[in-house]
Amino acid sequence: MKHKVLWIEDGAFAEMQNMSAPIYVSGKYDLVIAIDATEGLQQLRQEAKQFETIIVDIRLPPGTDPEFQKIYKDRNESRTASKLGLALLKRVLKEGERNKIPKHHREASKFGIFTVEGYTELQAELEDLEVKVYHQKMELYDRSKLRDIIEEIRTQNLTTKR
Amino acid sequence: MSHERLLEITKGLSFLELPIGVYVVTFDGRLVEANIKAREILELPLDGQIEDSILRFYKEPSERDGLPDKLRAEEAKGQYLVSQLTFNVNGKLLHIQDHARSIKDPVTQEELGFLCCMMDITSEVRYRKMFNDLPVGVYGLDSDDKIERVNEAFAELFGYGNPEELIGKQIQEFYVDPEEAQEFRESLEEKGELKDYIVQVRKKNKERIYVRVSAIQLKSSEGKYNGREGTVMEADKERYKRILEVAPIGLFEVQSQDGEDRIVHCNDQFVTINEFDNQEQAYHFDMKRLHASLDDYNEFIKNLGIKGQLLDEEVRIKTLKDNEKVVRVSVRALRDRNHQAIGRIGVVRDVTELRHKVEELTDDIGQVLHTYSSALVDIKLSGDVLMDSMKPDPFESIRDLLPEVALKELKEPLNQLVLVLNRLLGLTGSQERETTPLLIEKRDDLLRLKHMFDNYEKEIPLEHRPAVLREAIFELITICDEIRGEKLPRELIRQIKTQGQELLRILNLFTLRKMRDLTYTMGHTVRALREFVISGDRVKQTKSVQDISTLIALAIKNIGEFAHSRNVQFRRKVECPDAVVNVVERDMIRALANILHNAIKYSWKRMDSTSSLVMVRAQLVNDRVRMEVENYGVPIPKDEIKEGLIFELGFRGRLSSDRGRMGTGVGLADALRVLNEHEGIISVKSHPAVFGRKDDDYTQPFLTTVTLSLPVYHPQGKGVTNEA
Repeated sequence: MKHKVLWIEDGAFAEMQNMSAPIYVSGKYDLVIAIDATEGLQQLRQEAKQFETIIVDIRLPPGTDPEFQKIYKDRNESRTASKLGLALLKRVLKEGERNKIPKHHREASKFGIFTVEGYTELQAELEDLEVKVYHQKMELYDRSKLRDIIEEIRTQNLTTKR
Repeated sequence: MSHERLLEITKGLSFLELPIGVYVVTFDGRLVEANIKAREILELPLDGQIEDSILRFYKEPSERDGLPDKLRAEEAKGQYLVSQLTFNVNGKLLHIQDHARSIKDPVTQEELGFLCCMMDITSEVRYRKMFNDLPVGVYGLDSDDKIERVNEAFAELFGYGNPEELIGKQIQEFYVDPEEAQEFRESLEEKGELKDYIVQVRKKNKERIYVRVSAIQLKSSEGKYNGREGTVMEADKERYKRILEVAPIGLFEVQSQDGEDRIVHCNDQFVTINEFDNQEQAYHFDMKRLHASLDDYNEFIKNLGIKGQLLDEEVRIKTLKDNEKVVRVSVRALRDRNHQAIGRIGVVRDVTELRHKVEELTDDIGQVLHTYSSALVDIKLSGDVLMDSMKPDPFESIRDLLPEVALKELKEPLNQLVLVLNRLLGLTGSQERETTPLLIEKRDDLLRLKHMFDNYEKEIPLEHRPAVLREAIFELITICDEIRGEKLPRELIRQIKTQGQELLRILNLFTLRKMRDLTYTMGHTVRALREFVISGDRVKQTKSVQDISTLIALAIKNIGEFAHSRNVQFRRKVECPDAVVNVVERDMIRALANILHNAIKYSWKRMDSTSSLVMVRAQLVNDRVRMEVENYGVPIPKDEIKEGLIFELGFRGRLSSDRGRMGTGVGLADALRVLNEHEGIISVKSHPAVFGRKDDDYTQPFLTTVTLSLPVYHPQGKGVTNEA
């Protein structure tokens, strides 16, 4: 049984594409990619997906969802500067019921952050959302970093369940 | 005796119904007789004989002292003795105008007493007092608009010593614009009264002020204009004056006349910006001389003429002390009825420092850009060399590097690879061949890879396929190396590896071309960023109180991954964990992280250790927090420290590229700037790690210490603010 992973990352098919290769080739993971906040939300709404690990970028484009679009426009920020990853996490983890998110996708321990923003920029929000796994995108990482983050979240959950 | 004689002489006086009070008193003040009006004033019985003394009515009885002598003196001049007296009549104070002469016995010519006339002028006195004491200017004009009467407040408002100075003056003289005076009168004649009319008038000292005038028209018996009466107040004097004076921006009014632009009003901030000694020095100064050049001035006036007003216009000025400054001016043209420019009014803000900062920042960005561009050029040229060495290059003439382009080139070699891989799997799966646990394990991996090669077009998104194939080929080659010792045909293993390496060559050429493409993209991005930054001002961040141990911990967390990648550990010794500083948190953490980053980057492993060590110390010294970051490794040449070069943005030290390290010249410069904004101090020392060694031998390891010092924050401390 492959480990089900959702990676919400707008650069997944561009500058971050090499990170996905070890995931596919290992044969251990079922990787699903969402490239904007709307796609991320839609994936998480699907009961049958049963994601065990969800990795979220913070700078995400809104996609087609009107609520994300409104936030995006109100912030008057550029496409890459919008921090819609936080808005997505809030809708899933804080307002999951209203946003029709199945219960097993509302567990903060399944989530991890992989973004260019520094920790101090996000600390307050992540603490509020109770998301503990955070990694900053850096040039020094090799392409196995994504797999490492997945394993970190897996281990965290295994430890919790024990 | 005199009383009876006086009574006899003046008998019947009480029946006189004159409209003024008439009464007779003896020298010593005994009332002898009084007519009805006098009795009414003094509230005496209206008929019958009077048994009373006039002295009883004097508020100040001493006023009567020496009366006979004064009377005789006036009578000698043929005049009555006229006095203004204050009477107290049954508790009421009355102002009395009193005319007196002596009464002589017609027979003996003996002086028997006084005959007096009294008028109650209490109302008039009160009116006059009110007129004079009112805190607003009151005036009355005759039919020719000449001043007939004004009160003290009016005189004071117009800068005159007393009201008399103003009597007879033409009111039009006081108007700055005589047409406005005419307009006022016409309007008054039309409406009969005017309220709160704002006009600009000139004081005795020529100072211009705005006043609020209310007036009523006086009419002759024929109903014609016969002058006016009214009040005048300075228009919101105190409020406007205060705003004008305390506003943190310069305010000014310029009057244009005969080709000159004279300053007629300004506040203290305007004086400061333009470096006048005081407002008096600024008045009547030709504004033209404050512009940096005549061309600048002409351009400014031209634009103002066209637009009527200019908002936030950046203007170069030359102050009275010949210093050049940059100001932002918002100004509105003042015009007369014929639309001719008669001056302007505006606000001015000194942005010289801001302008310098923007220029400095622009310059800094230029330096960063230079460093960044160098890296991009290096990447690009290195890529070119690699591509040349890997020819033939199927992508040489291709501009649009899509994944399918690469996949097309990979298809045939991949088919070849799968063929030889199938042969290998056939052999490892054959029951006739001897097998080992390694082969069993690796056969599963080979099957997984074969599945990938057979199905990647179905299972993997297009964009990921080149990267996935590369990953799979890497693993295949690794497996080939691992099973080389097994009893398998070496030629077959070699063929797989050769075919795999050919596929990698094609994939690498594709990747290198994409990298080169990226350098072009980044070049553009950096230039765009530069434009963005220099077009706006940096917003200052708010300071907050932070304890030292938290700041250090967050800075270490910030560069924790980098430290881990370099196998560097921190040793912390914080002697003042609770000491607090008032800082912009993000800036200070970044500054600390910059220093820690350098310490990690330039660390060497000690001979006897498996990892490098960076020391972080903090202690209190003279009410300041002193932090030190010390590393063992790459030296900083002493001349670079002495000359302060290491703090220059973009400066890359001679040894900064030690063993492939990449210096950017940004970290320390940024840290210095942050420290400067926090009353902080930063210094660097670098000396040989082994005591006594030559300090110019840079082949040996050095101990480099960066020291930061920040003032301790006290909640009610002097000079402590909450704003950056």
